[in-house]
Amino acid sequence: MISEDLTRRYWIAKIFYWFCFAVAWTGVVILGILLFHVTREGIQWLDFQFLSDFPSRFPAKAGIQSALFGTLWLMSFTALFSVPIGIGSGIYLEEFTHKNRYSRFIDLNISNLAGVPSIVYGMLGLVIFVRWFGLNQSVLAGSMTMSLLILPIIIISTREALRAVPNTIRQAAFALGATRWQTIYAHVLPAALPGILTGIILALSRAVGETAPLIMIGALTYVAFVPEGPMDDFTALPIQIFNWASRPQKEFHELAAAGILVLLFVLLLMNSIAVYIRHWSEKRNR
Amino acid sequence: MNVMTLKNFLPEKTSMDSNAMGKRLPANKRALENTIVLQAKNLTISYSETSAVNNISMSIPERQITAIIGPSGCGKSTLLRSFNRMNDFIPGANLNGQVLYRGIDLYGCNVDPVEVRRKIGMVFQKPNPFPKSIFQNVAWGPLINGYRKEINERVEKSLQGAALWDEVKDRLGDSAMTLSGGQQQRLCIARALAMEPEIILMDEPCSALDPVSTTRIEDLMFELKQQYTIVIVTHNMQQASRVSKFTAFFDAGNLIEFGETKNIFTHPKNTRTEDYVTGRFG
Repeated sequence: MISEDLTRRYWIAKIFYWFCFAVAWTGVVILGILLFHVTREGIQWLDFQFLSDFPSRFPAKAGIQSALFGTLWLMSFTALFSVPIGIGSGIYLEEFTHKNRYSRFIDLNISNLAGVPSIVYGMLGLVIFVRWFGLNQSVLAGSMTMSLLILPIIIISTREALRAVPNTIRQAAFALGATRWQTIYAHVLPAALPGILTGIILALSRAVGETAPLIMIGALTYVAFVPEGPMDDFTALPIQIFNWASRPQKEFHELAAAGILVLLFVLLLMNSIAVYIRHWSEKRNR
Repeated sequence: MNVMTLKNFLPEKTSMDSNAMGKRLPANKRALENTIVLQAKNLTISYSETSAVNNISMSIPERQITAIIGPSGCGKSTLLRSFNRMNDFIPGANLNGQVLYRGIDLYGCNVDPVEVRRKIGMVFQKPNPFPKSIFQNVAWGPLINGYRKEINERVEKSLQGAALWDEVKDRLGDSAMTLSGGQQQRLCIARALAMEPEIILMDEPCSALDPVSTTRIEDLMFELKQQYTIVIVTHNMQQASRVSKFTAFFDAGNLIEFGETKNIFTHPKNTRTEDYVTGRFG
């Protein structure tokens, strides 16, 4: 026998289930529509010639080689700067400082930095790296600015990964006469590595798509060469896309869509590397 | 006072001729005539404001099993952790008094805590092997401390010492996580043995294990006391009465009674001790 009240409670449970279901699928559907739209517009332009040509006034000759290589240069240097600093800060804050007012102050500031709009970092980069350091609008200036942007994300995810390592592991190592660094290097870092690497790749994926700070520091929009060193001028995929999308001709809009497809592919590639690394090191740690 | 009687009970002698002296003593006293390796003197440990251990003094005899019993939160784990400076990692932990290891104050200014932990090993409540291979678990301690020679022999000896060798000798490369709970705890003991410590501190080593594994660990402790001094904190009074030679009963941070285990369990001097060992509280 099922009472009236129980029937009602089952109904509420069912409604809530369908609500959660709908919400979860909304994101997927929106992404699907976006992908469909972009693919339909851009797929016709997407060929080897598009990847290997430089930008051009003529849509048929335009390509994204300089933007693609610019993005690769930018990301390599961004990783070079942000990864050691980010992991180092995370380790310092999580493993070496005691919880006190001073460390809480740093905590709060890093969390706040993670929420600062990217254009503000762009202005900072313009003043400090471009003008003050005299780096002009080079790969170096761009990647330093990007590093500032993603450092808080790397620090926060490093700390969370370190915090997830059970304390019993640290105690076991200390009880064997290990120093703090031996403990961290041999046991804590390997256990936290999947989390740290995932955080780094997600942070870099964010940097790949950032446009505002690069425009702010004056990265060029028309570059007919591939950067050959860190001091060269550069352009990046999102800038190229922005440039094409803001032109009046329909063909350039389609080129922008093709550029978006390339950018999405790069993002997807990076995220799959993150998933792979996570899987691989979890298996190694088990 | 109990502490005072105890001092008469367990002489502070550290000389090697204690056996020779023992012959002149009555039989019941000879049993207690042991070299003292570890000694707490007027030890008080507090966390921020609250004190966990109040001004206790006790002596741990060499190559014997000494049990520390008492209700939850009585400070017994805190005391145990102070013996190899593991409390150093707890923010706000504060220590007054002395812990003497063969006459050296472990909290003296020229004593390095890392050095202390090489000499005084520890086995924890929950088995906590490193998520690495069985071999690496045992070899890591010696390797980081610079003992590179004959590492394979050392690992084998340690695993044999922990009565685990026969079960794992064909799969030393397997992850320690594939072992059962009892095997993992014996691996943790082997890991401690590999450092060739003098003292092994055990913090409720069987509380996460089933009765069969518990028996194996207890048998192992009997083997180990031939060579090592063991201090065990336990919630399990049967375990204390089975394995230990001496027992200390703690309550609310105070050392209520300390003496030979059989006396503590059969003729406790203090009514509080009696209430506890007969199961009236705790």
